[in-house]
Amino acid sequence: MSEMEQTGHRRLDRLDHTRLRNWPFGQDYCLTCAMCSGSCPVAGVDGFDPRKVVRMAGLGLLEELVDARWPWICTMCGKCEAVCPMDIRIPDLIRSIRGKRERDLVPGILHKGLAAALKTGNNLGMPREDFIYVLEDVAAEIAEEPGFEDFQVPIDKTGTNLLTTIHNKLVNTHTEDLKHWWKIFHAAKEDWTVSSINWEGTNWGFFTGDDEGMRTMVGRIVEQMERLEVKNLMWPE
Amino acid sequence: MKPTICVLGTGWAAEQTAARLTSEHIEVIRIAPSVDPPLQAEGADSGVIAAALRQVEAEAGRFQLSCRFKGASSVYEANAVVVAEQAERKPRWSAFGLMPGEGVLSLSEALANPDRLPDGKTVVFLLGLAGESDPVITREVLEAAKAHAVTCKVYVLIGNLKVAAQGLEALVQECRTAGVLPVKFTQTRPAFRRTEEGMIVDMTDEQIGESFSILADRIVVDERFEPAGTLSALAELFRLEADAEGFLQADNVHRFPVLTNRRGVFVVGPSRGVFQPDLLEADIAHVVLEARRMLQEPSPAAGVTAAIEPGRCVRCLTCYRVCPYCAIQLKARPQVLPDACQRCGICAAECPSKAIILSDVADAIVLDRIEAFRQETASMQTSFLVAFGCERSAKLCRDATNELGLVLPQRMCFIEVPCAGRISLDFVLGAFNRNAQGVLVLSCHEGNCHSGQGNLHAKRRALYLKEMLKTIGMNPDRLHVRTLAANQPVEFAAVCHEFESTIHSLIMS
Repeated sequence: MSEMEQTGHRRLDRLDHTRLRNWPFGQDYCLTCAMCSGSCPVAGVDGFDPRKVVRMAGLGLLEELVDARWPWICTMCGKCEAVCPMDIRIPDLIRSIRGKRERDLVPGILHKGLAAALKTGNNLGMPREDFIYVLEDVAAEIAEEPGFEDFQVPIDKTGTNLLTTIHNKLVNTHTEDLKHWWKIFHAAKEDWTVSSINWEGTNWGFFTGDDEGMRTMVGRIVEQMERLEVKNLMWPE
Repeated sequence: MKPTICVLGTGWAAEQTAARLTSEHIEVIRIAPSVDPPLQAEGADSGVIAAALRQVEAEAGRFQLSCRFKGASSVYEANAVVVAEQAERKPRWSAFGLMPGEGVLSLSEALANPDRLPDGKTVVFLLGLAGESDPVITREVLEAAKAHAVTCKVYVLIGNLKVAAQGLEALVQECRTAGVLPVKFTQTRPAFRRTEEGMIVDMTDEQIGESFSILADRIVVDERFEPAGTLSALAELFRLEADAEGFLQADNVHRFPVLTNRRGVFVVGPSRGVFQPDLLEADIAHVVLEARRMLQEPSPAAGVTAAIEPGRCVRCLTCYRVCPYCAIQLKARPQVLPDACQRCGICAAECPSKAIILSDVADAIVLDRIEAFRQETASMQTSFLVAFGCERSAKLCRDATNELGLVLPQRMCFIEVPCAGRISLDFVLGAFNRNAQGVLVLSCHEGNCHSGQGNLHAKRRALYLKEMLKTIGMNPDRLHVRTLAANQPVEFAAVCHEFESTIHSLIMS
């Protein structure tokens, strides 16, 4: 055992500090000012500190970062990046670290939800007929309100001005929240539609750093726009 | 007549100064000063006179420099003198307990022999970990680190990073791009030890709180600038103020760069602790302007400078000792050099024989003003106060109270003096003698006196007088000493009112 190992110090010169140098987020230019730490709404939770993440990336401590809970505490709000005097893209850095974790070890339901979405078109794995049933049920409730007697939900209507995606919770636990949008569309005489397939507006590939999954989900929305010949997209996520 | 300026110094700073002054049509005498008389006679080839300076005499607008060579001596005359000595570089070995040797070298050595940092090695640069860093050293370390990062694994261990110079922030970034890994220390310091494996640096990365070690093939120790060896002798000879490190021209907020406590003596670049070559140019330009102004315009104090009455002077040399501007010349008896005098009046207040007169603040004039004020205001019912204040601070405060509409104590006679150092025992005792119930002494803040220690003289005298008042049975609170800055009119008014009520309650009790 060498003398240096006895001190319990790690050998800094044995680390490869260049490992993440091809990540284009500017982490090597940190001035250690800690503006990011000061602005972060979750700094201090389980010792999380965006500045530490940046420094560890600069030192090349990739495994430690991938195994840490820290990158999953970040809410991706982007305040750190907004205040960073060196324009270091800290949320992008954290997202890339998340992407390096084995998918089975992604915390919570994030990866399971994404897997379901890739398989079925939405995070809930909700069948098409159930989805249509919920939408029409909500539309019927709106039609009972004065001034909305003729309201109908335009599912899979072609050639409209606007396609809107649906957050899965709006057809699960928060159906009331669909009504506000729809009533506004009705009052504004908007020509709109919603797709009966691949309608999921939540892209958990973005949050888990899964670029491939994210790309697939985005591609599907583009497909629906093309299928239904819609001019504009409203993606309220 | 073409003005003559003597440039003192040996290196590039003196060379550049001389060249620039010459191009400005100024006659230049270059002297390379040494402690001992040099072997060779005047170095006529280079135009630089190598000599030991032995004596400096100053007459109005003229310096006489007595120089000694081996077996000979000469006197040179100049209108002004520029001290432009080089600074010396000293590696900070001792700060780290390091010794030059295998694997450990100074910044100068690393710069001179890049081969001493061979390819493939782990190189650790130290920067600003002991004491203050400097932009010149910072640039050298970062340039070297950047260059060697191509072929070596380079660390820069940083304490104090001075980037306030052209392009230095960009250089820090270039280092990062080149692959240099900085480690910043604020609370801790790295430790060094030699083992069989080689030099080891133990440290904590303060950002992530983890302990690391580096097996360093090379450690490059940074350097600091020290005043040239001749500088302390020159300071003594010219009676110039020096800072804690020994660089000339002590920090004084009232003095512009390159000016010293002595009119006609300038200090530039590395002689005053400024080492960046581009700033030396600015220093020299400043000297040219100041020298021109000095040669064209009469002394700002002309006509009202201090004067020594021959009949009263006992040649005790108190004036010579206390004058912050070296304006007392020792001939058969002391004389004031009108060109050098800046009329602070410290000498007039200190002279035990009362032989020195500053005509516009002479004892008789000041005390007559107090007496006249007393008579004019005799009908007022409030306390009779006298306030002595420096014209650079308290006087400006008082002027500002008028503009701000601040009310001052009704029966307060304000006497402005060129420096609080002029407020003599006779002024204060004379005020009490004319029935003043309270006397205020108002000086500039400590460290802010244009004349160096005038405020301290004032304070010392006031404290002495308070003891004296006690002895004779007067309440010492009747004398109050305070410091003010020129931008404190509100505080000034408050101090005056507070003092008035103190005096009022003393009278009532």
